[in-house]
Amino acid sequence: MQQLVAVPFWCATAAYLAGAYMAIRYMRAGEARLLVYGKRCAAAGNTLLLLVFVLRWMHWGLVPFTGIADSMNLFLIFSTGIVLMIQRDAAMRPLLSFYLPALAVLSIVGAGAGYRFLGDPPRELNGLLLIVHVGLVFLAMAHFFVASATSIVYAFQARRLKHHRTAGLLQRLPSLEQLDRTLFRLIQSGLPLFFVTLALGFAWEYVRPDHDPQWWLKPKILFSVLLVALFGMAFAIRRAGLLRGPKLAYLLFVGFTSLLLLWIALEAAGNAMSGPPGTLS
Amino acid sequence: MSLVVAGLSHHTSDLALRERLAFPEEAVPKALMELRRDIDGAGAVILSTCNRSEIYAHHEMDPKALLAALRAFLARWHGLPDARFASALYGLSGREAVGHLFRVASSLDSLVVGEGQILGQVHDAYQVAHAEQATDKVINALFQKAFSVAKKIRDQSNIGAGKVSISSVAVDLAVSIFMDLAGKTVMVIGSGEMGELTLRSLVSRGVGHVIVANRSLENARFLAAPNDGEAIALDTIDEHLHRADIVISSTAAPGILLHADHFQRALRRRNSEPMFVIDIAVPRDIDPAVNAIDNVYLYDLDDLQEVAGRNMEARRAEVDRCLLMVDDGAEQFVKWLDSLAAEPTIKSLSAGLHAIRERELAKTLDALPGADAKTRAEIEYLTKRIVNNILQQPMTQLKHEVHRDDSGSVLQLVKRLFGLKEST
Repeated sequence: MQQLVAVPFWCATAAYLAGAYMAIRYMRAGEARLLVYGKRCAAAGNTLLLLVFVLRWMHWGLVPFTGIADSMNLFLIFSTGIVLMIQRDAAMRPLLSFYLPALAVLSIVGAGAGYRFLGDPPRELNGLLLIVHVGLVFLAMAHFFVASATSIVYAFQARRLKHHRTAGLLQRLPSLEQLDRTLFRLIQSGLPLFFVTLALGFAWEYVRPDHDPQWWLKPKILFSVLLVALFGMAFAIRRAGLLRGPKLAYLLFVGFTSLLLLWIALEAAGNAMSGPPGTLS
Repeated sequence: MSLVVAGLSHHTSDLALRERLAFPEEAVPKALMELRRDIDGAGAVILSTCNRSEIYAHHEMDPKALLAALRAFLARWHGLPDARFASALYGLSGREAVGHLFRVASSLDSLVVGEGQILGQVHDAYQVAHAEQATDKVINALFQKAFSVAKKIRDQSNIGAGKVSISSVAVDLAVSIFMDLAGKTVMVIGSGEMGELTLRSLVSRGVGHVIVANRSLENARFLAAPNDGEAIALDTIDEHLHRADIVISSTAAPGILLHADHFQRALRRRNSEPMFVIDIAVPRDIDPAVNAIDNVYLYDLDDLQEVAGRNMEARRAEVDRCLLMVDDGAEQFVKWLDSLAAEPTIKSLSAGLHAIRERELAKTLDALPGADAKTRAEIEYLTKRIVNNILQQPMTQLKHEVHRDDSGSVLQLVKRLFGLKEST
């Protein structure tokens, strides 16, 4: 099984790397066809990861949502899907030059951390409620991930405009207003999903027989609450006009990255002390 | 067979001569008709813009004779002795003419390298000639290839990226900040010429609302009226600044008119929505410290000139890469053009062998009176297949041979071998 899954798994990583290479070349050369090739590479990588997902599901008869390899796969599949949807608008396509390297980094992290567990069975999820909960977690996270990648593009574009460095990539990127709208549309879509999934998670935690009274101290719960707080606050202050523009973009990017790193560190530390290897969610 | 271009451009002539040799738009169809009357059977396109007047022509006569005929036509049409323009006139033939058109269409030969207007003008010139049935197979193919090379260069290079005039740089920057100018408000302070020009560029891109501020309300109304704008007095700017997404300042005021606190107040009132501020006044109207405020993007005249200069440099840096694409396109076209030289021989060869086939087929079918229709059709199909198979290799080879220096002798040899007559 491991060998059967390993082929599309590594091919997907190679496809994401090829996509990132095209994106970086586009940044320098500005040839639109490079972005088209990059997009195709990302779409191919996404399809291959879906194949991994289906193969593992069919083989073990369990939805492969948890475990580091499956979690990263799912996160990448959703993130790539969102990116591919955004770039359907031709004006937004140059954003791929930022998105594709970010997806490639995710892909490398996923491959590096998860390849050893490809042959392991996925952890069983108790019931549909939990499956929906975990699926929505990753979908909402993917929205926030793409939003934070968009926020860095906004900050980059605003900085270049401010310092009058207008040649090159700036001319090809979408306008600040378009970036701002995309960024907040992503948060607007991600927030309700995250609220729903948090509610489902809390409900499941209360009804399960081995209810842990200290469940809210788990890193993933703290991470989720902080993430909702960060994006909820960003959304509210932007709507109220209290903070807008590059500072808010930096806040989102730094906030999301810090929280993500903190969560991974806490989970890894927790797993090192107890629990089975390769579990993240 | 010759393909030539004769004409003059901003590289070779002054404006007065270009004006004298220009073809007004409405006169082009008649000029094409007379040109074809002078040079019977020529395919031609007349390209006349403010920077060039050129005639592209294809004819069976040799290039020198065709160029002389075009020069005579130009002199007659414009009523000017050719000595008056001979020194400014260039005449190119073959590959040089092809490369010239590709450079013109790709805007590599323009006064402002990379400008987008010329491709439309070449396209229009071709459309007029095509509608007048003044083009032939070669001219059609030449212009189609020119459009495809120009498009490739636009797509695969940065030759058209970045504007190079102050007003268009300002519009470009506005588009980098705002998604759609249609719903935006532009405030013009003062009535400087450059300010008006920038406003006009923004209005042509569809800005939604115009506010004009001036010391004299009457002057403000005068500038606002053509744009259905609103006129305000200069001393009330502070009350209106928050409504402006784009501010253009070009007054003759001796000192700073708007300071950072004006923009901070305006930003608070507009929920920190970005503002693009263009200060093209000398001395400056807007405190440079304004650029330090988040969500305010201030560009003064020097900044805009610097952007325009950098864009021009970036375009020039792209020229060599674009010229390689032009060369590549010209090479492909010339190969195709050369292959046309083999066409009469190929046609003769094919016609000769098929004539033999038909003659022999008729004899065979006469000898088989009992053969039914199906058998006759099968035999005919068989003979066609045999002849086509025999022809395939020599036809392919002939198309390759025409690119060699001694292609004429190869074609002569084939004609002698098969006893072919000259045909066109």
